[in-house]
Amino acid sequence: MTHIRVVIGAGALALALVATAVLVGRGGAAARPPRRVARADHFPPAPATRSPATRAGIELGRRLFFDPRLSANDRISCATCHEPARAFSDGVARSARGISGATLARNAPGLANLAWVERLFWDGGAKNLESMVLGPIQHPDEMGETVARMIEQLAADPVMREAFARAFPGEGVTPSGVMRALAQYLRSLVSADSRYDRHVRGEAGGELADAELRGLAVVRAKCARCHATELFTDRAFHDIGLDPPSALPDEDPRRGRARVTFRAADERAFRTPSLRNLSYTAPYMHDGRFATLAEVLAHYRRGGVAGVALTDDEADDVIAFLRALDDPDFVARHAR
Amino acid sequence: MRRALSLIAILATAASCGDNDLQAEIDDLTAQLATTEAELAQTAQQRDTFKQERDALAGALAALEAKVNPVISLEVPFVFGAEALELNKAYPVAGGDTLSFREVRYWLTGVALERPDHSFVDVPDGYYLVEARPEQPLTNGTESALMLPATRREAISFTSIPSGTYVGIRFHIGVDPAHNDDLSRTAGELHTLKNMTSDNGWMWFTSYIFTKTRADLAGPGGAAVVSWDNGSNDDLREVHLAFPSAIETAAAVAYKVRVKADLETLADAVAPRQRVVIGAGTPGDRSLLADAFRDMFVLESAAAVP
Repeated sequence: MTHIRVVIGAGALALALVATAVLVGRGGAAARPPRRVARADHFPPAPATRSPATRAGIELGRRLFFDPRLSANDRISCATCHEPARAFSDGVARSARGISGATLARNAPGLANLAWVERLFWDGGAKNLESMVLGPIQHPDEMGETVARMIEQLAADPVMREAFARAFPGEGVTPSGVMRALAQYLRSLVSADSRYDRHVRGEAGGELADAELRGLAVVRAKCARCHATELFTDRAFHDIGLDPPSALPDEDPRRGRARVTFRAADERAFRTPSLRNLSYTAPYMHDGRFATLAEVLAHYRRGGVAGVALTDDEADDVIAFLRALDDPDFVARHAR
Repeated sequence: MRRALSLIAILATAASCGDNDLQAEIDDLTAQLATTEAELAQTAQQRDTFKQERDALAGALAALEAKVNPVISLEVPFVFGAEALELNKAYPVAGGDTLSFREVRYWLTGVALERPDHSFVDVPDGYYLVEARPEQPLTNGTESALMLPATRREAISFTSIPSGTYVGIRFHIGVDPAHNDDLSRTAGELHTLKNMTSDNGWMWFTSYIFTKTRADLAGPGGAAVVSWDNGSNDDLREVHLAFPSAIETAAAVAYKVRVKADLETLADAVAPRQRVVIGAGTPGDRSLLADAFRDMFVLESAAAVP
């Protein structure tokens, strides 16, 4: 693990993430809101990455993310199911917008603060963002593209050749470049400017209402075992007692993290999602089974392996606080 | 360098002052970044030139190494018992069955020669794909129209190891975790477009397929298509073989290390009738398969080429 910090003199500042927030805010539509530096130095240390971001790499990744040529029919991009306006989720329980039209097995998660995440997908099957990105591109129900055809198309486009040359000088258009650029872009999606974040930083616009403060206290006391740190996730995998464990009628009910680890203790365990940007990322859970936060809390209040005892007032306060974790600037900044 | 320090100073200020000051500093930063970007573009052109020069130098270096270092070949021929492997030929295996191999492939990596003090001298970027297979479509995700030509590759050679006394050889079957966990890393022959990454859901599990075997099983129990894959980090295996006697290598002299890969041993260990399919979802069998690959290698000779 390493801190994303640069030490200058006696002070340690989260410069890398500050820079990222600035860079991602540049370019694009003229109607964008004013740029703002979102400081993430209250976040925990981020894992080291072998592929440090550059502005050209992030920009290439952003182009690729929105490029439908990464799909077999040239109509589906990453953003088809990861819409910036929905904090990079898609608003449905399980998407059928992929190349085959089949309903996918999992909910499309929102994308934010992935620089802090080491294992991707709901079961952590991909070990880093670089290796993850080819999964959806090649999946026969998602983008259904072959790497060879994708590279052929990108390499035939002088604009993309130039973008690759800026990002990875001397390398040409390569699968490795696609992986690294998309990973750099995804790591640049830092959401750290909610009202709660401003509250933590003592900034203007960080005022929390009494109900929100009470909700914060409840979350810290009763939910932080899994929704931990300022990321509001422990980045681990848990069985929370969903019944049935999968919305898929024919899926092995033991699936989950155990698909990767083959450990019985990991059966039915899925990634702890962050509590950030929940207003944009409904429905919830790995299969999108709950349409509202009230339904989510109702599940926990029923007890079971991950039961949480909440009074009605506490539940209302929690939901009020969760709204304070929305980051509208993050959503607006990345909208096209 | 001065610009870089200036950027850091501005970033430091931006991170520590209020909203009112930020916009001007961001604009300043933006302008400086644009300048740096222009310089980077210029640098990119220079790097292309440098890359060509580097490639030319690498070629010259290899030629020079062949003069000052020994030229060592590692031959790893596929055999079935006493005979060279012939694809699609029915070989007898246990239980009255026959096994006809359609293809056998594996990553041979981490090649190193062993000194008398049991330290190792590594071959840089030593990632090789050893294979015996027919022409097949490139299947990166879904099957593509691109065809990979038929290939029989059972030898590698290197000139990067200096002259000296060597008593053994070591290599791995599979890819080390650093490269296996990150498909964007390239080294040696590692690449995503070799049908050794994305089949059968591997992309959702880990990176490279370490070994891939396809064969037709026939016999009293009926016919079946054998499909054996492994590839998680746990499946990496080390092969360490001692030479019959130490070899003294000298500059510009050719040496051959011959290690046969006996698929009869592999088949006996894995028992195809009991394990027709091994893949991502069968960790115990994957491990057994990894052990079987490790144990099928037999060193035949290590000596100067006459």
